[in-house]
Amino acid sequence: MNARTMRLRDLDPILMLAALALVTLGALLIHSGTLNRFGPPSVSDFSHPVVRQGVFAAVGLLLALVIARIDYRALGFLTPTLYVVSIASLLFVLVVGEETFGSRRWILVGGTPVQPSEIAKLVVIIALAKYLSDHQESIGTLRVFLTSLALAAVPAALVLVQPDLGSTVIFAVIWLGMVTVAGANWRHLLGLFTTAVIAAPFLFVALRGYQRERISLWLDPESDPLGAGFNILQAKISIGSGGVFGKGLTEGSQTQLDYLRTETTDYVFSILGEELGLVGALLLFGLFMLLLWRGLRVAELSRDLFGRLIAIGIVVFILLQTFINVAVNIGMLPVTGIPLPFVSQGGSSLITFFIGLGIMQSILLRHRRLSFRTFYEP
Amino acid sequence: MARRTHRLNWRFLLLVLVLVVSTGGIVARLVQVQIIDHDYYVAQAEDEHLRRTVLRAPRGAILDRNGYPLATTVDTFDVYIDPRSWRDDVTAQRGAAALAPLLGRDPGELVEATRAQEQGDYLAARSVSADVGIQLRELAPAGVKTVTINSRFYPEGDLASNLLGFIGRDQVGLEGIEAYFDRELGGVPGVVYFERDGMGNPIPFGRRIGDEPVPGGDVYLTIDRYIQGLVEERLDAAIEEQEAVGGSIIVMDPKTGEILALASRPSYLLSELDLEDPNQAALFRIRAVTDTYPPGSVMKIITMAAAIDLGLVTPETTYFDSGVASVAGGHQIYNWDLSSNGTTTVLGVLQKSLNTGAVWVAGMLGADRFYDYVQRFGFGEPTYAGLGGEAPGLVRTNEDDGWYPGDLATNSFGQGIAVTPLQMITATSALVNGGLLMRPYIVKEVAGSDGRRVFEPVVVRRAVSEETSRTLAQMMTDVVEQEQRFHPARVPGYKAGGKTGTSTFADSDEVIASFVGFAPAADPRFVILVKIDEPQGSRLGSVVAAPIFSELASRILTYFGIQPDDVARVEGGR
Repeated sequence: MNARTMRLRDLDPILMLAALALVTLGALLIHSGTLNRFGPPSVSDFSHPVVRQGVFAAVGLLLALVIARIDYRALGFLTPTLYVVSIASLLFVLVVGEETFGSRRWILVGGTPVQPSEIAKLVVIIALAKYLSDHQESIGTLRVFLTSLALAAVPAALVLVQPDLGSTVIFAVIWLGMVTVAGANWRHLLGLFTTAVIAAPFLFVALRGYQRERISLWLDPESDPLGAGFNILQAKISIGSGGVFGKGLTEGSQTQLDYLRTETTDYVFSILGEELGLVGALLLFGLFMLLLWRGLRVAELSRDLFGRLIAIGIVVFILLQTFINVAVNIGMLPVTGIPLPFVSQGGSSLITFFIGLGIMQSILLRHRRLSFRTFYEP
Repeated sequence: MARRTHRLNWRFLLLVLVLVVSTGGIVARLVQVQIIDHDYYVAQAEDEHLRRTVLRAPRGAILDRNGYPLATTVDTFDVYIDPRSWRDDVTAQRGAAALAPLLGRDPGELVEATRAQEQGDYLAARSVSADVGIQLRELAPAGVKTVTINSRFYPEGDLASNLLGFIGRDQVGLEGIEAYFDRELGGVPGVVYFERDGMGNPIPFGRRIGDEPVPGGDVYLTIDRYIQGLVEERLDAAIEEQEAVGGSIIVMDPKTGEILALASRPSYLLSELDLEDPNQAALFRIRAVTDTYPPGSVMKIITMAAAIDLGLVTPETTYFDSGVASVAGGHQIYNWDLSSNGTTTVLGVLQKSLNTGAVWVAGMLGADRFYDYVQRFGFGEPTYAGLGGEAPGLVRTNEDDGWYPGDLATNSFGQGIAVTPLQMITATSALVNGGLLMRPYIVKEVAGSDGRRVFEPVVVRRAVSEETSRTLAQMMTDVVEQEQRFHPARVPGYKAGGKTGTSTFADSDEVIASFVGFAPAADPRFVILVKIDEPQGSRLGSVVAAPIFSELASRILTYFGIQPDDVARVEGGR
């Protein structure tokens, strides 16, 4: 890599600032949501969730900057190793993982819980990008189509066993987005879609009891308002009672009175909805739109298909997690434990997304080596 | 290459479209929830946060006439453990180690019992003292909750248990003063709406609206703690000495009708109260007002009072006692000792307690006038003293069905008539206070948050003239203070009056020995009624009941600081 071709002004500050703005918004919401249990944060108290989130963000940002310096194409060579390690860690979590709320999703690394499925999603994006860009010319063949599907299906199956249906869906949709953009054959996609529709009823039967219950609760949360439907209803009540302008940060009665469970992780959007209202939600969406637009710009500017697919994959990843998380909060989707990117409390997710941003910056830093004129040739 | 780029861009747009559509969908949904349905969700939130709770008013105290508390409310604590938070071994062991010594339980057993609780919180201890409760709140072991409840505390222990009664778990008076004055003691519960959290706990400094409870008033009894203590102690001793089945002692201020002490047995002790024991239920009633007995010879003072009030006889009027009186229906009535005393005065009838004399006087009175006086003295109707379950007694007059002319004779010396001890002492009070029948009362004053309510003495009616009252008081004094022989009711140093009674139930060989007396004779400060049921040692009121009067009167006179009438007699003994 020639240092002269890597120009720091090619770094996209907007991408980073949008992400940091989301982290800040998230920290405010976590502060509000944990005020009862932890009180106001103090800088020296590393057990305080807001401080922890800040530390994770700093680590994430640092990692992003380090990764930005590394040529993303080096990831191509590392892909097989990364992929095998991810699969291994997903297997590992099934054996020795920490169980919370009835599923094994965590392993403790030096006392810190780490969710390998988060990093695995990023690895799958890289692996798919590598595979699809390596087989650019034969992308239309069924063999490539099915092989790429298998690359995503293995980790998807492993997280399904945890069980983490939400992450399974994310693996599937990331793959779908990437093969679509990479140029998959429409007939293959249509064939898969048809198969999925036919298989859906059988899959529903194969779902675990709790997953089926979640789906029926989503359809009718009132059937168990104090039990399993509680959170769905409370989240809606929180957001609905927030109105246009919200009740003010730390003023939300639902939030402050602990009506919401896992409020700073999966239900952080409910705090936003209640305390900052529709205006706050639109601000959040604005920040995400900005982030995703800048992400698509990376895909557009990328010197090669590998970089472009990575960027697409990360954009789909962020978009999808955001959509699922918000949709769950407002009762549009069944409950899944999907965090809101950059906003929800949690180190694994935050650091994963920052690494993703780092890779995007790495792609940007190197996009000028390729004459993008060919890219825009009519 | 160009084609591919074009295709890529087209697919790119698809992605942007997905982004826009999904964002649009979510925003549309948010508009629905946050704007269109906003009011609905606000109402839902309010509904959840605001909880209506009835606030129990603090219950008032029961105090004696001088303000000594007999029953008060103290804060105690119920201790609950949340089994979910004790699922974790470390938390459970730490919590149990802190809790167990305070509750006097074994830590291991406490953890086990908590975990055995399937639903809700485990009630680890009920009504622990304020000391322990405050310590617990300071320690605040994880998962342990303390709930403040009000408990009744009895500073005088079991004193006046029967009279005070008790309250239930719901803080409502069930028996005794607690029940009869429940409205005064209980106060008015408040209603409060408060904000609560997801667990239903009220939020500190949260919004509270509603009416605060009005605390219950303090009830001051007419009872004197000291006299009540004396009376109970003496009554219990007498019942034991005489192997009696029960008894009653009442001390009354004859001028006002205030009940200074009231005890009846069998009864229960608050410290041994067990609401689940069905055998105890029979002990709850205050027998001195709920149970009747034939008053026996004590009734003769009423008979004599009627005749003297009408001017038919004077204490000096004489009749010839042949030892037997024939009455209507062919019955013959003898004196209790089967004596015949020849020419005897009316005073002598009382002094010797001659049944024949009472029959003679009743004959002069006739049924109409006799029963008129019986009723004037309050027999046959409740006294309305404020104690529940009061019996009216049984007085069958010549106007009632089932009355026989012979009843007039037996009623004149207190047989075939049933009265409560409270009626008897109230009637006696009327005889010695100048002739006014007072309404007896047990509550002197209620001091509530809305002010003080003082109960004044109530005159029910004039029973006899002042003159008659004076005469009767003198006659009763002459009964005790007669010079011919020693009377066991005598009070060293003081002059006292009184009358014994020994009566039998028609269907039983057992007797009721009683004495009603007053002191000091010249200006009665109190009347004492002593009634011992079925004594086994002696069957005579003069032997069983009169000495109790003597002893109680002596101590009460000293307690009241009343100057002896005759210092020499105090020094010389009886």
